[in-house]
Amino acid sequence: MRAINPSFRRRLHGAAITLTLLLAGTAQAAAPGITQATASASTSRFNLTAQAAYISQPDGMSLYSWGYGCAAGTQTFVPSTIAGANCSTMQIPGPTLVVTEGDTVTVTLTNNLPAAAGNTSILFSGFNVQASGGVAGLLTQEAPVGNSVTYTFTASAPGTHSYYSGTQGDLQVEMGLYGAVIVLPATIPANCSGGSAGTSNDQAKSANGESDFRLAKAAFDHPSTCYDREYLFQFSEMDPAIHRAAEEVATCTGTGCPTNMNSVATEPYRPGYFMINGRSMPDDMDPNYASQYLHQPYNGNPHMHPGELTLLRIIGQGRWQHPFHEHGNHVRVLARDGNILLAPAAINSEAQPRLAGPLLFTTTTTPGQAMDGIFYWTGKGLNWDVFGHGYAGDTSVCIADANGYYTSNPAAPNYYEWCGDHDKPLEAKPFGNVGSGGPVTLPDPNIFANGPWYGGSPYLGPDAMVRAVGTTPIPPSGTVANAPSQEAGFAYMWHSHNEREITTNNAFPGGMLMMMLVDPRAFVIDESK
Amino acid sequence: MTLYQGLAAQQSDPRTRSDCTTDVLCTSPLPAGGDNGRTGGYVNGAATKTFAYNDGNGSTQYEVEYPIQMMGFDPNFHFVGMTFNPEGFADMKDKYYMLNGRGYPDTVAPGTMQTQSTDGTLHSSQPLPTIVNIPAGGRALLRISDLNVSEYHTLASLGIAMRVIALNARLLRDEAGNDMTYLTNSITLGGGESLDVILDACQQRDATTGNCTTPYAAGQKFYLYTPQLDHLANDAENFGGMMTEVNICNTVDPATKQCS
Repeated sequence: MRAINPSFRRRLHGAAITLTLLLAGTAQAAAPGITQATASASTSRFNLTAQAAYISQPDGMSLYSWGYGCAAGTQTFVPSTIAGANCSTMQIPGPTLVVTEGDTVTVTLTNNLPAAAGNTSILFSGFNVQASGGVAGLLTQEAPVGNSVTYTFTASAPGTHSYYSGTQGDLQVEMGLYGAVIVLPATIPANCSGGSAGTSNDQAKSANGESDFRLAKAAFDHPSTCYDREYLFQFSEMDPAIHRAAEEVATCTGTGCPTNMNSVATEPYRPGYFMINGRSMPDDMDPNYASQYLHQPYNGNPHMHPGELTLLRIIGQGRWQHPFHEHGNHVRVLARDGNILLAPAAINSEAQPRLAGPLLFTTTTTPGQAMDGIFYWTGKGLNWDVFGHGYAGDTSVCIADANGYYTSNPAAPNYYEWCGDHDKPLEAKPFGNVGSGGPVTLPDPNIFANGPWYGGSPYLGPDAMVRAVGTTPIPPSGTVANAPSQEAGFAYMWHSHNEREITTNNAFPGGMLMMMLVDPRAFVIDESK
Repeated sequence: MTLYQGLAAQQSDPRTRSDCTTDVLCTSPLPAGGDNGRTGGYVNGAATKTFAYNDGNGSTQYEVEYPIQMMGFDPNFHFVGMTFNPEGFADMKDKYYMLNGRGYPDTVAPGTMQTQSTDGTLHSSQPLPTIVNIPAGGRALLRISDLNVSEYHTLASLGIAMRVIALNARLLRDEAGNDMTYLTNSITLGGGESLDVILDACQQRDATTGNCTTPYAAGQKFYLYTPQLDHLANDAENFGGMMTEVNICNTVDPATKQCS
C-alpha cells in the first residue's frame, strides 16, 4: 500500500496544481469511446477529422497540437452509463473506436489541418486495411488538405489496437494524431455473463446500486478473460519546442511563409510533457469529458473494489518506451496487439488452451504496441484484517469459499474479504474502535499531518476509517481529497518508473502518474465522474 | 518429500493454492511434465539443494546466487540537488553506470568500498562487489533488478548463455504448467523491473539425470556487460561502467562466494 505523505504535498509546485488536486477527489475512469453502427448489422462507420487545436497542461501551458476528432454526424457514446460524453472535431487521443469482432469497419478521414501540414492519413495496427480515395502516400492512401480518404477493414479478432498517422509520423504522431480501436468479442463465454443473475461480482454491483461501465463482459472469446471494470491508458510524450515550431509555420501569414513542415526539426528530442490519455497528472485524475479539457476528453483514474477483475488496455503512442509500473499486484498479460497469448494445447478436456501471458508488475509501453491485461486486488497476503474487524460488538462474518474468499453474500460490506486474515489485528495498542494486539504501532492520526490521499487510518471502508480514529475529527480534515467518511480506499501509485516522466515540464509531481484506488464496496464507483 | 510433492501439497491449502481455472493471476501452476523424477532436493525431509522457485520439477535449482542491481546516475543532477536550485528532470542524462553501486573495475574489487563521510570517518558506502564465481558444471542464479530512473538497461553475457527463469518475480510458466523459460545472451529491463537468470557452467547435461557431463573448465573467465556501449564508462573515463566478470571455479563456497 502506498499512502501519500506530507512531503508529497510540500513538493507540489504552485497553487493551481493544489487546487486541481482537491477538485480531483472523486473522479473515476472507464474506457469511453464511440460506436457508429449503421442500419445493416455487422458494419461500423466512423467519420473522423484531423484538425489543429490547443491542449492544456497542468503548468498552464497551452500547447498547439493536431488530433483526430469527430466530423459532423451523430455518434453513439459507449458505455452509455458515462454522462456528459462528447466528441469534438479535435481531441487527443483521437476518439476510441469501439467495434465488435467480425464487423466491417469503415473510417472516413477528412483532413482539416492547416495547409502547411500537408497530407495526413491513418494506419490501423493489426488489420488488413483497404484504402480508397485521397492520394497515394508512402504507407497508405492519404487525404490532402480539405479532402478525404476512406479506410475499410474487418475487425477480425477481439482486443485493443492502436491507430495513428501514417504520414510524416515523426511530426504528426508527435503532434497528437493517434487513438485506439477496441474490438469486443462476438460471443461472451457463459461463465463471464453468469446467467440471468450475473456473476457474483455483478450481484455485488447491483446490491450496492452501482452501474455497469463495461463495454463487454469478456475481453476475448475465452473463459479466462472475464472482467468487471476496464480502463484504457494511452502513453505519449510531447516536446513543446516541436509544437511551437509547427505553430509558427501553420499560423504564418504574408509572403515568404513556408508551404510545408520540412523546417520543423523533430530531433534532438527533448520532451517536457508525459501524458496518459493526453493529460498529465493531476489533470488525468479529473473526470472524463471534464469541460476544462475540451480537447482531452479521456482521463486516467482507475478505481476498483476488492476482488474485481480489472481489464487494462495499454498502448504506447509516443516515440519512447515507458516502464509503466503497477503497484498492488501483478498484471496477467492477456494479449499483444489483440493477439491472445495461449498455451500450445488444451488440457484436462477444457474447450480452449489456458492463458500463457506473463505476470508482470512493469508493463513497458512500446511505440505503436497495445496490450491487454487483467489486474485485481484483494487483501490476501497482507496478514491483517483490512476492514478492522474483530472489535467489541462486531457481528461481521467471513465464510471462506473454495478459494478462501467471502463471496457467498454479494451484498455484504466485506464481500470478497480474504477470510484467512479475518479479525487479525494490525495495531499493537488500542486506538479508536479496532482490534489491538497486532504487530505495528501507527502514528496517532490526531497529531500526524495527513496528505490529500491519506485520511489517517490504514483501514478499508468508511466505517472502519471512522472507527479507527475515534471521535475526534482528523486534522487537517479540510484537505483530504477523498473524505474518509465517504471513500476511504487504498491508493496505489501507478506510474512510469522514469523520474523525468512523472514531472510536468520539470515540476514534480506530474506526467505519467495516477492513483489506482481500491474502494470499499460501500463506496459507489461512478466512472461517469 | 520431493519438490513436486511439496508443490502438490501447497495446492491443497487454500492459503497457498493457485488454481488457474478460477484465478487468472495463478502463480505456480504445476508443471505439465511432473518432476521427471529428477529433483532429489529433499532427503529425509531436509532440503539438500537450493531452488529459485517452487518449480515442481527442479528446473530452477542452483549452486550459488548473486544479486545484481543495475543503476545509473547523472552527477550534474546530484550537484543541483545540493543547491537551492530546482532540478532539471527533462535534461537528466546518466553518466555513471553501475552494478550494485559500483562501476567497472570496482565491480570486481573484492570486499567493501569505503568513502569518507562528512564527519571525517570512513563508511562502507558501496559494500557489494559483483564478482560472479560459478563452480564448473554448476549453476549460478542471478537475481537482477533495474533501479534506474531515467532509461532502460541491457545486460549481456558473453560466452555463457542466460536462462531467464522468471520475470518480475514470477516463474515463467503458462497456466497449463508449460515451461516458458528461455535461453538468451542479453536481457533488458526498465526501471523498477526484475528478473531471474540462471547461468549454467555446463556445456552438456544428461537428459535423464540432469547431471553435467561436459562442464566448463575451471579458470575460464567470461564477462557480463552492457552492449549499450556508451554505458561502459565512468563519466569521462572510458572502459568502465556496467560490466563485471564471471569466473569458472573448481568449487565455490556458497556463503563466502570464494573461488578455488
